[in-house]
Amino acid sequence: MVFIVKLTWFFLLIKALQYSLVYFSPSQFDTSTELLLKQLTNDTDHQLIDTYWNSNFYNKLLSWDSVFFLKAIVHEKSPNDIIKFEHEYAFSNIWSKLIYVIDLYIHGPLSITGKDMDINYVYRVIKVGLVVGNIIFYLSSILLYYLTILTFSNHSTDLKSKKIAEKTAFLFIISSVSGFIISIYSEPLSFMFAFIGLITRELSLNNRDTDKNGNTTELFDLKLYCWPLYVIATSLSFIIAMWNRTNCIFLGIYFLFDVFQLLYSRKFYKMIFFPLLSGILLFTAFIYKEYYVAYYQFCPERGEWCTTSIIDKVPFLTKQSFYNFIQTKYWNIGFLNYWTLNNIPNFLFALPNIIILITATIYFTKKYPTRHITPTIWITRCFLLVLIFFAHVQIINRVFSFIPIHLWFISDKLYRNEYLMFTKKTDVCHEKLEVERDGIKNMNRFTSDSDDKIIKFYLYWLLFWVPLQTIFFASFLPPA
Amino acid sequence: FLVSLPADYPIFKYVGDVGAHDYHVLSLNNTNNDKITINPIVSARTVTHYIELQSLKKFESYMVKTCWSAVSPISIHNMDTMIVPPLQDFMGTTSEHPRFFIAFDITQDSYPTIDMLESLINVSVTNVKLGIPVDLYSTIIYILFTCGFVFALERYLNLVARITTI
Repeated sequence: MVFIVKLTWFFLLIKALQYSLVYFSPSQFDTSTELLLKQLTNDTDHQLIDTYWNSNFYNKLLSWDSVFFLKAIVHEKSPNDIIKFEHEYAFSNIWSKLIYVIDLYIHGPLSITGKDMDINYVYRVIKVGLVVGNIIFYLSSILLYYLTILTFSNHSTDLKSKKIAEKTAFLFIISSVSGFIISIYSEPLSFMFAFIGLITRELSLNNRDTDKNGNTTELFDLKLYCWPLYVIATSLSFIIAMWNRTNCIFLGIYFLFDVFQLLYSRKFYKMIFFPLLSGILLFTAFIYKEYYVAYYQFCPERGEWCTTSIIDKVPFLTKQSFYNFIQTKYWNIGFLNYWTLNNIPNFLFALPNIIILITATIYFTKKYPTRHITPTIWITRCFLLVLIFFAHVQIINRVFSFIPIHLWFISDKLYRNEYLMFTKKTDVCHEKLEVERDGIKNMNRFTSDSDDKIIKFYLYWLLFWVPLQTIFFASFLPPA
Repeated sequence: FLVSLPADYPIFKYVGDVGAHDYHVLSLNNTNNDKITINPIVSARTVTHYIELQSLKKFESYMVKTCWSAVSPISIHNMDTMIVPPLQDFMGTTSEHPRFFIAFDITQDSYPTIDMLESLINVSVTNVKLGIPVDLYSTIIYILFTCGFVFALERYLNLVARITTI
């Protein structure tokens, strides 16, 4: 309970600081926000756009992707009046629908009409979007706390897992995604459902077997009575996370890992009815959204992408997904397309997270190997490759928020350092403590000081980066 | 897009009237930045737009910036400068002095394409001093102030050390 109170105050403090930075930021370099509001609201005389709080605060939160989300929410309200273009399908309609529905639930239908209705509605949904995004971010930090306890309790004492979980939750609030969650961004919905799915998966796992003498051995198994938790809750959470942000398809690697583990231990029925079934559900949901729905929305009139069907009888199965197609066409996504001289600053923006993520995967494979975190390591490796070689690399600062491996690495290492310092200072010779201390000493033989240096550098970077990213966003400056 | 007047561009005082015209004008008379909003109707076909820049100073450079909202699926390209010599007709107008224009093409850039897509574009011209557009000075000062403040906080409150011992 004390932890939750501390976490809440910490969250409120960080958000207060960030929104103060937004309020005091002098101007926007990109001047298109006023055009967006004029086009969405027909407020030609600027009376409401230029009110004190709108011009000094809310308008500054409408930069980069938030523009698309705002348009999508307004589109939900009046789909016949606003044209939706194909590139806008890159942005989650689940997120815009959620804000639309919550606004409708809180405020009910608008009673005012005409121009005032438009402008009031737009600012109303901006406020609802901000509150919902921040609440989800806050709840996700608590979910991550529980996920971390579940993840680490299989390998360490309750005290240790709790300590690591506390650090992880605090770090999550000031992680690099934080600079974007001051506006209407879809990341919070994805990382919340990713964490929910990972928690339900962890609850379904049986990682320990205890013999008559009380000795525990590590194993991989799934609890039969947890079938609904695994197949329904985990799959559904991953599907929502993936429908909201397509990159969450990487969560399917957890199912792949579980399939191979159960195959290895010859638990074929469990393999079929747990991870294989869940993986099929996730994959079907992906095909449905990225191929089927898009195909029957635009084809055959659209041409181009529509003509790339692989099988004639299943025309919607095209060579590339619709998401991939629009990303390539409008954002120039592709192998090494982003590797140009003018993008060097964007690679520099991404560098701290690339370094910490690579270090984290090495830490959990070579220095602190555990089968339990293996799927997370594989997701990290695959996603890193995609981001570095195919995507706009700087988005790593926000899109990696659904994989907390770097936060786990920092928390785990910091805890070990603290523990060593503590044990050096005390002469406690409790048997259990000795065993643990020996374990940590053995572990530290493989842990070089470079990890500590990287963590220190990363934390200093975060200390400056979060406020700077907040200012960049409020000033409509890159990185996006 | 950075622009500057050619070295041989004559110095004269703008008196303004060249008659009714279809192009827009940005003037830096007694100011170091100016902005206008244009409302072109964009079709599927590429259309070139011209904006006259007035009262620019020689040996100074200026940043021309076009901003449009992401809700308008348009693309602006081929931005360039153009000088109309004195007394030469341009879009039905003539002037005793040379005129300095920026020109750019606008096309629609998404599907479905609309016959007559209405879009709003902010075009601004800003004086560049020390290699930085003057409208960015306040933001840069704010960023430096914030960095200094964070640095001071870290120095006196050891924020990173506190984070590590949470």
